[in-house]
Formats: sequence, structure tokens, C-alpha cells
Amino acid sequence: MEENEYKNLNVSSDGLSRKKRMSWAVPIAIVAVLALAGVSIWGYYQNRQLKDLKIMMENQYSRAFLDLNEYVDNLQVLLAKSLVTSTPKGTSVMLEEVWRQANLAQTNMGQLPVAPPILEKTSNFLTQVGDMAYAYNTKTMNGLPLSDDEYSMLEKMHGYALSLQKSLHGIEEQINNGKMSWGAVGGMQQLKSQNKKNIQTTQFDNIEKNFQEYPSMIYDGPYSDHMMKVKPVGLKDKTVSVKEAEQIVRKMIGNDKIKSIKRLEDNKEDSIETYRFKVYYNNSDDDGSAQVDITKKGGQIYWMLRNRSLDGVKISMEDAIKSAKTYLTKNGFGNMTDTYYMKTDGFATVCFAYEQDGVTVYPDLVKVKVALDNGEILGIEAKGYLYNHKKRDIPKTSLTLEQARSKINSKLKIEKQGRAIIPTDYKTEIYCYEFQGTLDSQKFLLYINAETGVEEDILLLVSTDEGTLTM
Amino acid sequence: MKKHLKLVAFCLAVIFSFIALNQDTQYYTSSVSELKLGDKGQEVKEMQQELKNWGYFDGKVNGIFGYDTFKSILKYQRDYGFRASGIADRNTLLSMGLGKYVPAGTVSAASSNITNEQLLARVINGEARGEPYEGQVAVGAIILNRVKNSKFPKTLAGVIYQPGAFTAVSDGQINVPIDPKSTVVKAARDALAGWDPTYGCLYYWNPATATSKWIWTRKVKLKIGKHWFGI
Repeated sequence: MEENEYKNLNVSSDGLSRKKRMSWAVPIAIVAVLALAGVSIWGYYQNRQLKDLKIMMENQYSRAFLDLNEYVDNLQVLLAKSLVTSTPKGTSVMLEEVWRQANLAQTNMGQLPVAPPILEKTSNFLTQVGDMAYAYNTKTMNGLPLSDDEYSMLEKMHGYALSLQKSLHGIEEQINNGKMSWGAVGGMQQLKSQNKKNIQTTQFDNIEKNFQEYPSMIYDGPYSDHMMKVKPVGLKDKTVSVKEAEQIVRKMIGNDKIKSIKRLEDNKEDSIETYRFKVYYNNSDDDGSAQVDITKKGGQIYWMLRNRSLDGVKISMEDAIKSAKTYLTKNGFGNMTDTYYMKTDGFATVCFAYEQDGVTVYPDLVKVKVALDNGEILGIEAKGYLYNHKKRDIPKTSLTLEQARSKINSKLKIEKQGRAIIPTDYKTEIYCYEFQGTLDSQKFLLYINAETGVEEDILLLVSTDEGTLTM
Repeated sequence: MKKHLKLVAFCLAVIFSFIALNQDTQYYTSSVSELKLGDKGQEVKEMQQELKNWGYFDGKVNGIFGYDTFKSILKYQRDYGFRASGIADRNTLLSMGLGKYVPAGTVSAASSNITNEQLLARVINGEARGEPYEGQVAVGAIILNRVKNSKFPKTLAGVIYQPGAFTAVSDGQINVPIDPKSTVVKAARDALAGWDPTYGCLYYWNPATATSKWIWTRKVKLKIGKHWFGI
């Protein structure tokens, strides 16, 4: 084969030299025509592929949108029904379904080709209505009727569900009439720059207008509006100046290690205001710098993080935990007890909780990142502690540890027990007996309310080579 | 005969899962990277079983890598386009579904943790590659803050893949695998561990390149590197 081709080439080049220019035109024309044909065919297939993809995308969006509509329809009906049920049990059944439908609606809304923040308020409504239904369901499930206030909250929510349903049906109608389609969006290009108004964003902007006057919703759930405005209680009284804050930074890192400190813009917009510093180290490039945030009120470490390369693992986990603990005591976090840790790539992140009278106070959480080459502290994260720490009144309970233990599923083999204060999803605290037990070689943590004997929480402990995770 | 084989395979599977469950370390990948003539043990046994199931081996499943096993590996490698070396290297083992033990239950937790890490690292890589370390952690924190916020989807993937939410997702940078040793993975890890340089922010943008109007309506909380962060 190859030989033949070689001969052909020779022949044609011979021919070329003989006929010179004349013969050039024909092959060029043939090549051009072939190229054009090739490009056309390629273009045609590209175009068809693009069309297919567009249709596929459009179908996805339609599916998400129609699903959203259906779930909002259901949500509206269920809320209406929940207002007229005669027994707490009946209300409970409705509310449980409200929670489910609202979640599904919210998930589908997140798949629409509408970039945030456009549907922010609508999404917020769907989350809250589900969350509230869940909170009320917990109450009604136990046979307690809803209060008048709670009913009026549900009524308000129903009103919003109605108007949301109406607006969504408006869009649906436009799609059905062919006045609007997902394909007309202009694809992702449009999504990247939200400043161009088109039918679609305008329509969804209108949906958002339903929630212009949406009030704060307060109830016992993680997404209740009061959760966003929690005031910190773990800050000390004394307010510190920038100078003092810098001294604190020097002390915590060690003055001899610091090359220079640069002050960053203060954080004045959070419920904890801080001075922010960038710290450059001796014998280290800029990449090895750290950021440290010190609270204005209290002069405590809010947050610290340094990224540097490691020089192998040289110290044990016990030593790392010890070094972290000493560091915390020296820097204003006394009485901390280590709970869990994660170890990855030569770093260990150890979680510490405050301990008061033998009770582990989990909400007062400080995380410490330790380098396992020399035990240097590379990170502190004390938000949990600063927001929650205070002296607790640990109640005298009539329920003894043994009584609490007898309430536990007998299949579980108990290995450890103690007392703890645990946080709830809506930032209250519960005083509990804590048990660690094993079933089928899986480890669990169980929390029995020390006052009521109710099982408040179960955590699954996942031990990996890298440490222990709770789930 | 076929039925018999299935039964044996099933029994073995049950036995292995029990063995796996009784191990203290609950998540590991097999340290064996290749099996060759003369090797012995559990791994060889499993490989022989696989070969037998696929009709490449009709000797005894005894856990000894003998000449007959060698021959069947050769045949297997030829049929499946591997280099016919007679040594069951990692790729050959993986193609048989071996070389990696995934005991029931506990693993999903650890591996989903790694998935989250990668996913987050990829977005950080696409969005904040040239930023200082805390700026990279901040982008990770924004994503995690969104997961916890009522205004956004409730899962990590939901937030990351929300249409139009992140440029790195829209332009496909999300599909570039990240080396687990790179800085962005460390940043993702710190963000997942709870470090939040943004004080709970939900949005960030680069004022120099941002084209959208809406960003000027957001309240700026702080600036890290080239990015502004707001709620």
C-alpha cells in the first residue's frame, strides 16, 4: 500500500512539473469544494447536536418548573386543609405533608435557569413554610393543639402560597400560549450577566414581588428569622483598642516568629465586630502568612488561619491535642476538653468543648488546627464559643444516670457515659446524659434529656483512619 | 454448575462482608497493587473467583497464584486489551472490580466527605485560584453558608449547580479534577471544617470585572483579596 502511494506521488509531481500552472486550478478547486462540503456537513451536525442539547435543556427546565407548580398547588391546598382540621392528629398529618411538598418545591425552584438573587425571597418562603410546618407538626404529633397565634401564622403562610400559586400559573399560561419558552433564554450567556432584562427574569422578578411585604416569621425552627439575629454572649466586657488587639496577636503567635503585621479593614457589619490582621512570619514567604481576627469587645480570638507547607508528620496525635490544649488555656479559652478530631495530610483539626462541673458543653465549641510536623497551631475557630459561652445553671435532676441508661435500646452495648449540654437546631440548649454505645461494630452517641428522659438526639460516629466524624 | 458458582460467590461475598465488618479500620483501600506468580492470600482467592465467574479459570480457588492462574490472567488481559504480562496489576484488578474493598455501611460517610471536598475545591479553583489562602477558604465558606440558608437549595450539589450561580460551573471548570495535594483542596477542607472568613456572607464578586447590576444593591461586609463579600 505505502509503496503504491509513494509511486502515485511521484507521478503527480512529475505531472506538475510538466503541465505547470494549468493543472494547479483543478486540484485546488476540488480541495476547496471538498473542504466546503466537509465544513458544511460538520456544521450541520454541530447545529443538530446543539439543537438536541437545547431541547434537552429546555425539557429539564420545563420539568423542574411544572414540578414546582404542582408542589406549590399541593402546598396551598394542604395549608388550607390544615386550617380546618378538627384534631391535633389531623393537623399533624397535613403539616407533615406541607413540610414534604415545600421541600420538593424548593428543590425544583433551585433548578430553574434563574440565577440568584432573583428568586431569593420565594425560596426563603418555601423553606420557612416547610420548616414551620415541621416545627408545628412536632407539637401536634404529641396531641397538643396549635395556639391562636400559630394558626394565624399558618393563615398568613397560606395567603402567600395562594399568591405564589397564582403568579406561577401566570407564567405557565404564557409558556402554554407560546409567548415564553425556556429555549428563548439565550442559554447560559444570559445567566452570566443578569443585567439584561428579558421575559424570563422579568417574570420571576414579578414572583418575587409577592414577598415584598413578607414579615419576619418567628417559630422554633432552624430557619426562623430570629436565628439570623442571635446576639453573642461569650464576649468579655472590656473593649480593646487596635494597639491592644495587635499585642494580643503578637502574644498568641509569638513575637519572635513575626516579621510584620498588616492591619486589614475592620469588620463592622457583623454582630461580632473584629479587628483583622495579616501576619507575616520570619523565614517564610507571603504564602505562609496568617490572618487573625480579634474581637473588639473582649479582645478574644475570633478566627485565625495560616497556610504553610508541612515537613512530614513528626508528632503523635496525643502530643498534638496536648499542644492545642495548652495553647487554648494560654489564650483565654480555659477548661476546654477535646472531643473529636480529623487528621488529613499532616494537619489535625481538633474540636474542643467547654467543660463545666464535669458536663461537656458542646455549644461552646473551639476548633484548633495543628501542624503535625512541629505542633504549631495553624488555625483557631471560636465562633461557637464566642456566641454561646456563659456560665450554665446545671439543674438538679430527679432522673439518675441509671434511670436514663435503662431507657436506652437494649441492643446497644454501652461503653461510655457522661453528662453534656447539647445545642438544638434552633439554638436552645438541652441538659442530657450522654452515652456512647456499639451496635454491630458501629458506634453511636445517644442523648437522653436529663429532666424528661426523652431521647433527644442520636449521632453516628464514623471512625476512619483520619479520625472520628459524627453524623 | 452455573448456579453452583453463583452460590459460592454469594457465600464468599457474605463471608467477606463479615470479615470487613469486624475490622477496626472501617475504611481502607487494599494495599495490594499487583498480584503475580507465587503470591498467596485472600486477594488471590478473590481474583481467582472473579476469573472463574467470567470463565477464564477452571482450577481450584485456593488463594495460590499458580501457573494455571497465570495462564488465565494472560488470557483475560489479551481479551480486555491490557498488556498481556501475566501480572495482575492495579488496572487489571480494578477492571475485575477488585483492588478496592468497600465494606458496607460506614464507607459512604468517608467517601462522601471526599466528594464534598473535591466539589468544593473545584469551584474554589475556578473562582479564586489567584486569591490569598483566606480568600479561597472564603469562597468555600460562601457555598457552605448558602447550604445552610433558607434562600438557597439545601444540599451542596444543589447550591453549586444552581443555574447561573457560579461562573466556574457555567463554563465547565467544575469538571477539572483537582490534585488532592493542591492548596484549593486544603482551603476546601478548612471551609468544611467550619472556618468562615466571611462572617456568614452569601455573595461575593469582583468589583473590577463584575457586570451585573444587582451586586451594587448588596450590602458589603468585607473585602478579601480582589473579592468583595456581602449578604
